[in-house]
Amino acid sequence: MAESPSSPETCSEPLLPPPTHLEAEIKGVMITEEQLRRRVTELANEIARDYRGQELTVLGILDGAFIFTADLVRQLALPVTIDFMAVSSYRGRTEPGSLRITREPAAAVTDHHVLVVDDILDNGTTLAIVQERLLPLRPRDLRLCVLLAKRRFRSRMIQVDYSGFAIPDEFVVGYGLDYRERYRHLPFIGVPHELPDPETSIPVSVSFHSWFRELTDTESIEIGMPENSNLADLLERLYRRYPRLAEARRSALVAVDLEYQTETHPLRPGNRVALFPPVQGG
Amino acid sequence: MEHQLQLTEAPLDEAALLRARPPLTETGAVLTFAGVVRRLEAEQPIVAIDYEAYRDMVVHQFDHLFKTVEKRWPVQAVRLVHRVGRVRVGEASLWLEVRAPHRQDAFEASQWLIGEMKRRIPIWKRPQPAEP
Repeated sequence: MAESPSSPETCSEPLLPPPTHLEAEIKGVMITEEQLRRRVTELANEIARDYRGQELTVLGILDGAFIFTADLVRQLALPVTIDFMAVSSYRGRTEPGSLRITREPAAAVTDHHVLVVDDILDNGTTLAIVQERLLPLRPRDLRLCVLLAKRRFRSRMIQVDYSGFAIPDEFVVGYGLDYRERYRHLPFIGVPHELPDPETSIPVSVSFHSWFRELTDTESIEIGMPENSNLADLLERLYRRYPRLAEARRSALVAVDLEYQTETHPLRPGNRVALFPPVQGG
Repeated sequence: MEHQLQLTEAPLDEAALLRARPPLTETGAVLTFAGVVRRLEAEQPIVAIDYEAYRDMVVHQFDHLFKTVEKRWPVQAVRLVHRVGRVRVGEASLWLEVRAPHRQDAFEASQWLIGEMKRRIPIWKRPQPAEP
């Protein structure tokens, strides 16, 4: 019944510069808003062509696919029923076997054409668990549509019918995809600066004072540092993130939990780090 | 040793500070010092200085300084007020009172305390230039 689907578009490399206000957090833009719009329309056209004359049940997978699903169905020239399923990991961490369905579809699946829409095909566990849940309900047919597919993905267990972009094996955020619930609202697909493993990282807060605040354009940030990091590691990261701060590094004073410290000071979870220029009381 | 630290946006009320001083019977020396904003800052005319403080750390670091004063000098009490926010030319940004049985200790402790404050208390200033 289907013509051969278009092959996924290859995303732009190298990354494009992010909007200025996001430079501190986002390393670069992998897929622009414009590319997304064009490709989502193409996918919608293909789907409409393949299902012509049929009614379609679209099942978006929460939370990551909420924007993709919303944009896709608005381009779909078909009678469509929309519903969502939610699949969550147990501990904010994606590991095979640690997933469970936290929202069941309410829409009719049995004897219907069902299209599952997900944000990204990474290790395939989400789509595997969704398929496992839906197939026993005996849909008329079950197809999968993903916005992004990692190029390294090779599993034979998951057959994707519609795929937006083939991307390299990088952690991406935006357009519905998050890092610890952040960045879902970004209108593009971007790559954040290096990400700490939330299980082992040391969360610290950093505040900037006096004219250092103007060099960073922020009063304070939260940052996760790798295990066994010391103050020097943190400072290196900050100087990389804020080049104007790096220019002032020789005059910088550093305090951890209200005490002055030197660069070899080891970081502990919850440390309050402060960076400021020479003091001038009196 | 008693000590009292105040960071305040309000202008210093020296009369009120003096009224709040307890009766002195064992004290031989009361030294008060006021640091005042000058009209010229780095040879440029200014109208005010804006002070910014990292409050939590100011309090914590002053605690260290007060403890050291207590260890080194027989000082009975220290009261210190530092302004934050805008301090106009001619107004005091800092007020210090040290009470001790003897003059020498009061002078030495005051000098040391102000010196250390300028070295390690996280307060910064931004002079506000006069309109040309």
